[in-house]
Amino acid sequence: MIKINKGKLKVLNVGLDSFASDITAAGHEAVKVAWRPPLDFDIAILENLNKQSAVISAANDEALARIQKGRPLLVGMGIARDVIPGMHEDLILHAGPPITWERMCGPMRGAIIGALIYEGRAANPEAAESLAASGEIKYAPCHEHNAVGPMAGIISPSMPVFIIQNESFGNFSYATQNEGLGKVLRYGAFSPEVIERLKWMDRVLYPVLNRAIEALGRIDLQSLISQALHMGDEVHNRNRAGTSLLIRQLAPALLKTMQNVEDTTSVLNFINGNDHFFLNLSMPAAKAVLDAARDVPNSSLAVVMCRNGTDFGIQLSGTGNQWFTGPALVPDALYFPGYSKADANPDIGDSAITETAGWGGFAIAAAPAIVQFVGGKAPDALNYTLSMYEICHGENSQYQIPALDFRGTPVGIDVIKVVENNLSPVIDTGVAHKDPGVGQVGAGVVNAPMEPFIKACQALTRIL
Amino acid sequence: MIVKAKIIQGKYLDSVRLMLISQELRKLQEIKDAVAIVANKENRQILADTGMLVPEISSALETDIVIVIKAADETSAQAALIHAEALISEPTKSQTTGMQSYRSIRAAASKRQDLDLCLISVAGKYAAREAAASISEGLHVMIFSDNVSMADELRLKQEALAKGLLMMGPDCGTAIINGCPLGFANHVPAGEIGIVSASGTGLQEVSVAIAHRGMGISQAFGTGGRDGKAEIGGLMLSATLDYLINDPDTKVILMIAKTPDPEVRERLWTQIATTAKPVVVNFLKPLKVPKLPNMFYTHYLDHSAELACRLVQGFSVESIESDTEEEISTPKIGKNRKYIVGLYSGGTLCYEAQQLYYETFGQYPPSNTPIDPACICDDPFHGRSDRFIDLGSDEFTVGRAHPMIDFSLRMKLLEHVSAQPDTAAILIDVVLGYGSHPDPAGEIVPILRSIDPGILVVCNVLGTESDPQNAIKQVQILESARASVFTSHHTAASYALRALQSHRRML
Amino acid sequence: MPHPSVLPEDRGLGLSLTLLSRGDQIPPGFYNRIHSTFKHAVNFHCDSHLIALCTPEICPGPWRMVIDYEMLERVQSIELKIDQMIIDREIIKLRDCPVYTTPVFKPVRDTAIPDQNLRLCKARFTQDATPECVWALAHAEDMDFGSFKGRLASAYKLGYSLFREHHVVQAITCFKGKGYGLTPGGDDFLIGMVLGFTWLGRVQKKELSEILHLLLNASWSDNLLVYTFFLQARNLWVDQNWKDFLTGLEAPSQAPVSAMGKIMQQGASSGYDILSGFFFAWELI
Repeated sequence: MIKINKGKLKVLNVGLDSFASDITAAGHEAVKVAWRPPLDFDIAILENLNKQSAVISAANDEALARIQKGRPLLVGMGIARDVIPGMHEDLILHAGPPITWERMCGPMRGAIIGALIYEGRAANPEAAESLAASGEIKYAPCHEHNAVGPMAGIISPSMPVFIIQNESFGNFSYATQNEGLGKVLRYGAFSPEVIERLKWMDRVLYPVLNRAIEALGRIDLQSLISQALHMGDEVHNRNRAGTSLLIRQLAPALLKTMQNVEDTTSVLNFINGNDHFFLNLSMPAAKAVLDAARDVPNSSLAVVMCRNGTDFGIQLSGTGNQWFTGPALVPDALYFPGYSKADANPDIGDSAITETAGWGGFAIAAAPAIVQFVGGKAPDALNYTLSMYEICHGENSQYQIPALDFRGTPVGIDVIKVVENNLSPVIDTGVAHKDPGVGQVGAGVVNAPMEPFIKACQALTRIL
Repeated sequence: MIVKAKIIQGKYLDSVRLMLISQELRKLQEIKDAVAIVANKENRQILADTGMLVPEISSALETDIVIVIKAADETSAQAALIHAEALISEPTKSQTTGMQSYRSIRAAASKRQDLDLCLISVAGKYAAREAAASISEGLHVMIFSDNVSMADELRLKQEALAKGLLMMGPDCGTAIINGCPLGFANHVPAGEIGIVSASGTGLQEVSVAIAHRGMGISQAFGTGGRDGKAEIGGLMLSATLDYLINDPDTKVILMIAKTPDPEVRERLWTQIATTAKPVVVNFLKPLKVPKLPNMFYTHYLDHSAELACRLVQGFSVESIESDTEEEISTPKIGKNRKYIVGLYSGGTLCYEAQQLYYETFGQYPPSNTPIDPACICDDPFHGRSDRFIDLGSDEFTVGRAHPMIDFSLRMKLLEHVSAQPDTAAILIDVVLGYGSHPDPAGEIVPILRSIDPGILVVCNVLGTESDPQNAIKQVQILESARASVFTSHHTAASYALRALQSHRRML
Repeated sequence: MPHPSVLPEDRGLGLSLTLLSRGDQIPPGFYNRIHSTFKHAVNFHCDSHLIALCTPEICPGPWRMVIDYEMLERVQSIELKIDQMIIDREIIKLRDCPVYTTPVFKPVRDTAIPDQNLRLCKARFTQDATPECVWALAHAEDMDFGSFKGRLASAYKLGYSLFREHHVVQAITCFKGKGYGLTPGGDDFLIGMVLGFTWLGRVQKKELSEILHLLLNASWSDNLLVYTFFLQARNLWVDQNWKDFLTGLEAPSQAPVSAMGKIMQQGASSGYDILSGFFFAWELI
């Protein structure tokens, strides 16, 4: 028996706008769907997944709960070979999904060359390059070793790393110390200055910070990140507040554990001059939170989004260690004077882990100031965040956005919703020059490519 | 103190907005002053006096508006400017402002549990999926789109009915539910007649005819054009008939469709036999139907409305006649003219016209949607014969909007046909209501005025006084262009055909 | 049935447009030189002034066409013919469109009734005046002289006293071109004075006719919006709200407070500013 509610009709209009206005003109209520055609691929896949929506939704609830429960703490520092699981002398970790030397982009190769020189494995760039290509050196994604790295994201055995622990679940994550801007390793530079600086970081930065962190015991990164979001950061492209809060926390301990004034001063100056210092803590914090949500069977939530300058890769909670990749895109960003899209390297770095955790581009409503620097207008900031709620499973009230009346950031990227809505996650990113060692040439808010998400959906159908 | 300024170019705001922006900015932390003013020399002097005349302003024209901010520090000034930008570039209103908008059906349904129905008019390729999503969210569905497969239609209707939901369509152009116009619909009063129709224009014509008789409708359901086929089995025809049979607000039921397949008809007769409620049935063609005490059959749209109205009022339903059956003595058609051409936007009206032609001349006329398949009209533009053209048919709507909205093709044909020396009469339907052209009469009158007076131009205006276009005004406008205007298609077509008949007898 | 994937081409405007009023001082013609576009109005050049196509928020006037259409920023041109108006490509019939008749005011003879009404209206005006308007700023205490607002307020204050002492030329410079809004508040104030003097028409005193003379000769044409209002003021070609207000001032029954209220709603402070000038003219006479 057909049942129709009495009273004014409430109509959802999908299509011609004029129908909606007519309904309103006639005194009833119309609500619109800003409809976009779904992707042109096998609709049957989506239909299959829709049939399993109850199972998937329950799994996503579980995965989301784990993300929301995450509590990342900075608990110490160590040398990569000693603390990163699976690290060995011939292993170099890189950003993004797995990739061979042959396919690596300029900045990543440059960074590897620099790392090999830094490690003392090669005396000069040419030797380093042939060593890198020889097959003797093994490459693996940072992500497969509980680590993350911005831009080229190179971690070699001797590098000091931060150790982050997710207190609620006990898992760890790792990242190196941020070198600063300009000609740095992560943009593929390998000049003597770069190596010098890396050595200084080993010699001075690391021990000074390490002692301070030991004295404190731990630093609550969740607290710092929540505060930073209230202060105009989105902890991907803008980390100024986070860096300031970090120094504030460290300052007493730095003084207490000071061994000599020059070193401590140079450390403070270094951090002070690098607004992105906090990025290398927000990234592993995100990693630690998301890793705890891995391996929930049937879950369609993304736990990794990353790029290596050639490919864009994602991993889902419900599909184990499988990578789903597609070509990394050259961002349509705001380029610094003198540069254009022609100079840009395709999207690179593990920093998209911040978006995966619901920060970065997802929280950009908290950082309207950054939008100007990526070529947008302030309302764009709100709209980016607002649109992300449509592809996420939930919200994280630990991280609130003042401009949205303290609504929690959208979190739990559901690849099915991404494909259904033909809307991929926004990533607020810096753009590297395609030649190694030049540095950043622009910044922008870009959409991730759809291909990895489509592949992920296809994989999900097979296992469900 | 940091002072920053922004010249607003090309973005004109009203003064209230400017004032609000200034007030908003002054509320920000660390902002000492914020003004929005015309950058003429007098105001610049004041800015200079208060230390706010920054170099950015020098490039402003005397007539530009400039926002000037004085802040405690660089960051606050910068943030204030960005905030000002945001306030300035608020998107402009559209006709559907204030209407909530969601990215998807599921998103809408999860936020709005009170939604009743989903009206889908996206491309047919995607319509089925959207309909399925709606049904799974518990919404009634109306698919305006065509190009949905028969298999999808069957499946969707089955799923909907299993949940007690309507699935009207595909290719359903009209419905009125709880008085709400959906698609192309007219403004008709509420009343006691319930309509089920597989034809959009058919529904429009009878609903309007009912309104003209001072009566009204309870609900008007569209079923989509294919519902009566054996493959679909008349699922919606039956289900909505069932609804109206059990609806206390409906006293009389009116069902319109192109003749359903035999087994569907059988089921409908059985259903009608289970109730005492009067049911007027119109399958657009003369048909032998079983004698049921509560069932009344006619194949004329106008008569079906008349029957329904009489049944509501308890009047006699005997001898329903067409009005004006007498001969037309002076048909006002030029001497050597021969042919009648119908240019229709409503498919069912075109069908009814062909039926009336058959009853006048004993054979069916050529048409691009002919009742008699042998009478296919290949070339409506250049044909030398009587012809009735349905401009809503697929071959005409590719690359164009529906002829009820976009008149360009009809006007072209009208001009062309009226220029032909052997055109004797032209029949045009002018369909009003929600969704249709805002002023159809105004649109075609310029051409009508230039038509040779030897051509008989007959229009039916399908609409009511309370339609957005106001039928009474539309009739007046058309009459002023010397067209013969009627508010019933049956009357209009009959009149044109009898005039032609008289004219031919005189030749 | 239609292929809804093919949407109707943009026909320019939308459903059922109605022209709600047209001013009787607009000559037929084709206007496509746009001066400015606002949320509520599109202004076209017409001779030395402007004519406007506006939404119903703005009242009818001799140089206005009021239409119920929101997307004015899309309008590129209007053509006014005897029986129809064409906005871009959309034809609107003018048959039933009300025409706004520009009022003709005879000089005020008996001043008792207008005086009483003006007294009541002015009292009400000072109660309701927005703090940003000229009158309020000129009468404000404790303004921070270092701020733009404070500077403006002191200019207005000075202007008031200069007018009272008949130092007209300097007084005018205290107002001309200064102030907030699309039409600077000071200009609106002076327009109000012109309106006041012209309507009150009792410029017997020689020194007061000089004020009007100097006002009329101040440079008005820089800002066309201001100039258009100025022309209307000096010729008393007022719009509906002012028409209601002024005729109401001559009526014995009740002070036209609600008509004044409508004027006060004009713009952010434009209406208040013009009234400030109007009442000041009355004070000076």
